[in-house]
Amino acid sequence: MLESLGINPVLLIAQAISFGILYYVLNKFLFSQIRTALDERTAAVNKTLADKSEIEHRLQAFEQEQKAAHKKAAEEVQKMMVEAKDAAAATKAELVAKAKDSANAEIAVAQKRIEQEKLNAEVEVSKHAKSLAQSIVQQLLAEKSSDPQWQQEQIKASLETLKQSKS
Amino acid sequence: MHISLKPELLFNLGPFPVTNSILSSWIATLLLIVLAIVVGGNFKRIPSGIQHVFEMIYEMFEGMATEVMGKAGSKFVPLLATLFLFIITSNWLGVLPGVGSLGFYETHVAASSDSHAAPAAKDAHAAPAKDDHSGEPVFVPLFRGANADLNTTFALAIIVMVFIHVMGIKSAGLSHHLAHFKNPLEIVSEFSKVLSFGFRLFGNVFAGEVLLTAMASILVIITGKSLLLYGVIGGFIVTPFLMLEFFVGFIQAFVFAMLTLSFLSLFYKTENSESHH
Amino acid sequence: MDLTQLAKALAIGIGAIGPGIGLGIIGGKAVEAVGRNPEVTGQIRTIMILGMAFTEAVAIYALVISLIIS
Repeated sequence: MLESLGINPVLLIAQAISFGILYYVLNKFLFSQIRTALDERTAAVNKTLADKSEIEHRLQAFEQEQKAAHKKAAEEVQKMMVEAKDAAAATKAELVAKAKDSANAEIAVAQKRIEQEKLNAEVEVSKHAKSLAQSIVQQLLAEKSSDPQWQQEQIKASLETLKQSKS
Repeated sequence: MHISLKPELLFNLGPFPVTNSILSSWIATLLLIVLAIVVGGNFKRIPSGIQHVFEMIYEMFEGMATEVMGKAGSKFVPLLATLFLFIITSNWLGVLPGVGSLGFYETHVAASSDSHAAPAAKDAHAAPAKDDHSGEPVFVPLFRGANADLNTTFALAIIVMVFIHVMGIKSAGLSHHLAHFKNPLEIVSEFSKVLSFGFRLFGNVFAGEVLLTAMASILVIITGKSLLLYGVIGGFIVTPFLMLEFFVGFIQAFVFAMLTLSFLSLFYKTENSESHH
Repeated sequence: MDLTQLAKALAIGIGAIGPGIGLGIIGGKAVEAVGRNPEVTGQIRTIMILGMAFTEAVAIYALVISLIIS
């Protein structure tokens, strides 16, 4: 029966050996490399995935940090603004007070000076008036001295004035 | 039309009979070895071309092996992939035009694979053999699908079964492994596995070859005349069957590897299944 | 009368009946299974091909017998 099916032990063994050689060659040259390549690839993909989650984690943390920093900064700014406002108000009040003070002082100085001026002016005016009156009197006296009637009248008047002032 | 069940003898290489099917199987083996060395020689990190195909096949079997046997399955992937590659290559080479049709006529004796054929050449003339073709010229195809020869398929089947049992003994220990065969029917079943492995592959490929030949020459068979036109029409008739044969060649290669894997998983004890017992 | 040809034809012809029915059942059941839960199509296909291979082996035996008869 084996004969009629064409089975020949020599050929059978030859085929087995040639398959063995094929297995050896494929395993040595191809499959071992594919094996390592696949392992490497798996490792690389796993690493990439791990890196990705790590990066995402870090990014999240970073974002949170940033957000917190933002918040803090905003708060600080707010605070500073409030402070600045207060300070501005304070300086304003101070300035206003100072300005008022200085203005008052100046006003006072000015008033004093004005009074002084007034006094001076009065003195001056009275000086002027005196000298003017003297000169007028001298002039009048010079004019009238030639007039004996006026002289008498004048003497009379002055006597009367003296009388009045004595009484 | 006559297609011999046996591979035809081409010539004797010393005591070794070189048949047309072993020639084909050598061609398939050589092709794969050259491809493996070329691809393995400049193996790239980023695969392309044939390397991609090899990696795809490897990964396909790796996926199935790990699914069936867990992590331990991955060390059997080279055997499965080699089986698949060898069978599919020789099946597809067997479908190529010229295989089975390219050959020469031999006048003296009906070609036979057994090594006695050459010395028995004289006897064939004298004593008319049961084969009524002897005496008239007999067509000897130069190539024959490697798996259309029981020697090839049984060689594969025996290798696989021996491998499976060696692995079973290695993993579970001899006594543990022999415990599978308390029932004598189990022993019969092991032999029937070899038979079914060998005959399945052979039957499919051989039947495919017969089918292709029959379809290509159907008009010649029906009319009894061999015209050139019939050959041309036969070429068109045979096209869908050629596609079918390509498909069958793939399926048989796949089935062979899959059956190897599932038989292997019956006997190979992984650490997990052992602790489970 | 030479009955060899008839014996060959009957061997594969009768021998193919059982596996034919079996293959039909396997294919039909596989389609049913895929229809029921399509997400495991790949696994079902693998199992189906294995089952078909076993069933087909019976037909192959018949074919071998018919080829051996001479």
